[in-house]
Amino acid sequence: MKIYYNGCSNTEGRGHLENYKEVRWSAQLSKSLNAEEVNEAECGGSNIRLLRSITQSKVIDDCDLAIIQFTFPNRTEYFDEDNNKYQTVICGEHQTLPKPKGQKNNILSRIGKKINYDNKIWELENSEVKNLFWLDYFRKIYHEKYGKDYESMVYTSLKAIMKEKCIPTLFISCYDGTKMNYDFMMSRFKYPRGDDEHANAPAQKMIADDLLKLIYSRNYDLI
Amino acid sequence: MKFYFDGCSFTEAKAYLRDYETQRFSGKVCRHFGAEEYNFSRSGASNLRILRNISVDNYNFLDECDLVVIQMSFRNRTEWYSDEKQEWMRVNPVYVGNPKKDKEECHIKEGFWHDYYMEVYSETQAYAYERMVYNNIKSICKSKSVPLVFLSVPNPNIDIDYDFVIKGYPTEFPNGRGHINSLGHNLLAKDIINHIKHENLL
Repeated sequence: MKIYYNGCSNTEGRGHLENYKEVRWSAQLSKSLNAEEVNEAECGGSNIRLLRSITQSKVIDDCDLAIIQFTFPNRTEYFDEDNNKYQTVICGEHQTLPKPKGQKNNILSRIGKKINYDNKIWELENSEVKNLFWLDYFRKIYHEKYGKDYESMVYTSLKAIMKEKCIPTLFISCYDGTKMNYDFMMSRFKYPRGDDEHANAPAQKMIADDLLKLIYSRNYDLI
Repeated sequence: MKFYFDGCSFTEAKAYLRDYETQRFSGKVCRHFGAEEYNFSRSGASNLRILRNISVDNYNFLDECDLVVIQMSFRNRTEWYSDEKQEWMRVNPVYVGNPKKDKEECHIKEGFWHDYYMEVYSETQAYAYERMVYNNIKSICKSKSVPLVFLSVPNPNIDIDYDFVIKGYPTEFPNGRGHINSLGHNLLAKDIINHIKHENLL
């Protein structure tokens, strides 16, 4: 039996858990069910990444059960042609540079320029240009309704896809502010967190145990 | 019967056809089958908008529909929600290719979305999202047991097996430039009607 997982750092576990490939809840749950773990989660992943990566997945069709973890709706992604891979975009991480006062809203005009702001000279590198772009995105473009509607779009689409694939699926989320009706919430109020706000090692076991109960209650153990 | 249509200006036709609600292909298909037309298309629409419409705003309405006709748009478009206008905004470079490569062709000359096309946009993502939207709409219609007809605008290098690509029909201008004209809508409607009958979709 194979169980498919996808989501963000809350499912990948890398970066905040020691020996994460064994400690993360997906590994513990798979072990409890004597199943092979197929984990395509990625730190910083967005809901739209979930939809794209599952559409493109080459391993999901061989799985018997799927657990798909939704994340914070303000995240997004883009394909980075310089590094030939998709990059995650997280609100906060791209707000390290100040917006230059009096500058025209055109990043291209700022490339290679030194900018004086708050008595500091900022010389923009190519990578910082992208940071400035996403800073602008969160300041001027992103809207809560966009995040909420796209969360709903991804959820509805994935439900239809998983139904077509005939793979029983649990939809779960780490975002306590969601209005969607998920099968399970990795709530920050229930599972203890480390300093970095992720569920800590003991919480990984708690999540795995609670999901195991849910799977048994759904009779997914018969698959 | 209720028929669901979505797409961009090729399906809305408001900007270039006189009496567009009568002349456009969606109206002709519906009249042929005696169906009510529900046309959600908008000029400048992106594929993401079409997926959002069918999976969020109109998801429950799909249960009432007997047929869905989706016309996919140019893959370089996108959308965002404006707080100021309280509406979804369509982002359209008014160019069918890669705006990052052919910089002069992009009609968005400054501001955030200009930066997007020059710095962030990639063909890899555009193709991946087109296929993502295509697969998801197919799955949604299948899960609702609603027959689906898939069309596409004449994007460059189409690698998806659409039922129809809107190409080769008479257009507003010579040499296939511009939107399909009234005769083009007639011929496209005829092709869709024949496809519906041939595939026993109703």
